[in-house]
Amino acid sequence: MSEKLPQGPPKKPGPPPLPENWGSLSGDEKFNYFTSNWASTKNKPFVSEEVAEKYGKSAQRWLDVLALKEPDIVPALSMFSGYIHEHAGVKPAAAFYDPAKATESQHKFHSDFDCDYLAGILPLPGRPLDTLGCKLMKWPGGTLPESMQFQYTEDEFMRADEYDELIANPEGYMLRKYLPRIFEGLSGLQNLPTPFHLVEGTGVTPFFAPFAGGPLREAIDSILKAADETMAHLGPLIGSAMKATVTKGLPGIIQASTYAPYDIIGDTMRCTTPMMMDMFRRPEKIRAACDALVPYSIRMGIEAAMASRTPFVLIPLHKGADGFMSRDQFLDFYWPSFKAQLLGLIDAGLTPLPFVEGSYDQRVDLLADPELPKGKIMWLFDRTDMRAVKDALAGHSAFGGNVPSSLFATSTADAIDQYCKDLLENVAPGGGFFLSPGAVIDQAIPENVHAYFNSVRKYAKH
Amino acid sequence: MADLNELKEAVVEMQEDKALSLTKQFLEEGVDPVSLFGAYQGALVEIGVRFEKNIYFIPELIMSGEIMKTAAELIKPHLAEGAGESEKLGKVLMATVEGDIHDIGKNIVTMMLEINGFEVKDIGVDVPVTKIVDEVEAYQPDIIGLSGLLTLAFEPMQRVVTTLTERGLRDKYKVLIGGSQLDEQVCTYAGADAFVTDAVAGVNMCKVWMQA
Repeated sequence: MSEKLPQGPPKKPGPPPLPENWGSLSGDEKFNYFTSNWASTKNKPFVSEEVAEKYGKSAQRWLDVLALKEPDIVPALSMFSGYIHEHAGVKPAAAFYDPAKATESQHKFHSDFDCDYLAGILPLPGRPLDTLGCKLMKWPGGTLPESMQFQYTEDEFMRADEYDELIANPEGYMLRKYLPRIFEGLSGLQNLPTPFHLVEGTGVTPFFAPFAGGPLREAIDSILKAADETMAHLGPLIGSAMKATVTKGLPGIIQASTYAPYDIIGDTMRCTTPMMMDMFRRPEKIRAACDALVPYSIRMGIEAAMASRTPFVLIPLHKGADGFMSRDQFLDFYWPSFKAQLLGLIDAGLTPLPFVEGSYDQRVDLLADPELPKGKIMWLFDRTDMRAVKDALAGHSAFGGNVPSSLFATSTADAIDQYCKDLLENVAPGGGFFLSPGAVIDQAIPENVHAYFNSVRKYAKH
Repeated sequence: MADLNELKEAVVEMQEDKALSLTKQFLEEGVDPVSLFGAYQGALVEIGVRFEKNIYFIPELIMSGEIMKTAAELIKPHLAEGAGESEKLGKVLMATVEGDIHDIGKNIVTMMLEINGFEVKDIGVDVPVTKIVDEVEAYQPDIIGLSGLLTLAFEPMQRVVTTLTERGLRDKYKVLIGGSQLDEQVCTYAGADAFVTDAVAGVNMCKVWMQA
């Protein structure tokens, strides 16, 4: 018997255990399990019957939209990020470094605006980024002044001649090559030994010895420190979100995310222009790499959904938009692995929520692919023509979005009211439609935000 | 006999290796380097036409720009001083405005403008409003290109325009704002002369202005 080892920090409560027969359930059965748990008012400690009822109605409206039905009131998604803090007079840096202030601004947003769903998406803590020395982006209070918004910086973090390595062993490549490049504090992972040492007892030495000291030890220490810092930041935010759910009856929707295989490579590994040239210089490598990343792109979605207990998986889409590639290139390079990812998420019982940033005017018809099951995907659009979206997707998949960020930031309440009215009266009828900003809102005029939320009641079907 | 049409076709069809090896071969055979430049220019015109027709998109512009850059390095040593340089269409000052550090869009537009015969001064990202206007006064461009991806870029774009007005300079320059979240609403708000959401639209706008 081994002696009792010193205990680390107390374990965080995990998601509820899955049913024992989980492995044998079909995608539909898993879907029913996830969505009914999410929509249920029985398993959450609401403060009153009224609040529980409000939650139940809002959740049901969202599921009605997913099922392509026409809800009594169209759900208005609260896709706000930087603005939540701007509204509370808090600098963007607070969202990264000051969980108390971040939760206060979240609370203020939920109190000041008549929203039906949790506001704020995917919080990003600053301290672990500091600890790890993140080179992939710049963020307020860390590598940017306190009042700026976080932004990506591009570099060829993956070299052109490394596709084969990525394809042959995606996770090994990420651990030993990519992570050491994007995080200064993880450079020691280059020395990560292969776990195959451990298949025979004699490999204990070559596997464990490298962890004993030096750069690998430092990398592991950095990971543990970053993990604690992440939880110290997220804990209060999760608590505050749960509180908003049970005191105000707000279901959370955008709480889990993943990326499409092409974007995983194109956004932050090869990056924008090198990836474009790869389409001509090494097209077969892109195809093979995207295929190789499908299982991981699905797994990311499943892990995030399990952790957040929401069945909806946001997939921000970037490099396949109009202008970034032709329709033929989209069909060749982007769509096959993305479609496989969508099918994989659906098969896992989850609901993909692809967020089409920019426009898909030149390819929106492709989204109604007959091999994608009906009523299982919710498409969120930025600038795509919503009438064309409706023509393409009505009866196939739910869709929404398109209220311009420019209206929130620079226009009037009247203008935003008219924009929403047009969508609600001309695109929403027939069902499967939800209202949402076309981009995550970082700046706004409060009256415009009110007009946005009010519109769904003002133009509700009677 | 050098088939310059074959070279042009290779560039138009994004056959980088073929285009560059033909270029080397022709230079070795003593083909007039100015005519090689002509073949590349002809290819870029055709690529522009395909872009207008929505056959080609940004990847082809980037790829052909890259081929052109490498080819220019091969050809230049064979050129007489000053040969092959045409008169510039106009001068453009490019900057990503204060608060925004995104540079991909700005860099693509800068490259495209240069290929299309503009002289461009790129003063970088997160450039404070007064610095932009100071640079404008020093460089005296025809056009000021302001880039920004974030919504928080709208306000500094507006301040560049008001600062130009305060210094009595507004009418001397065309102001073009570019970024994926821009629209008519932002253009009016900022007081710019035009907005664009892609690089080619930006180049076209600059050409229209210079031909006016």
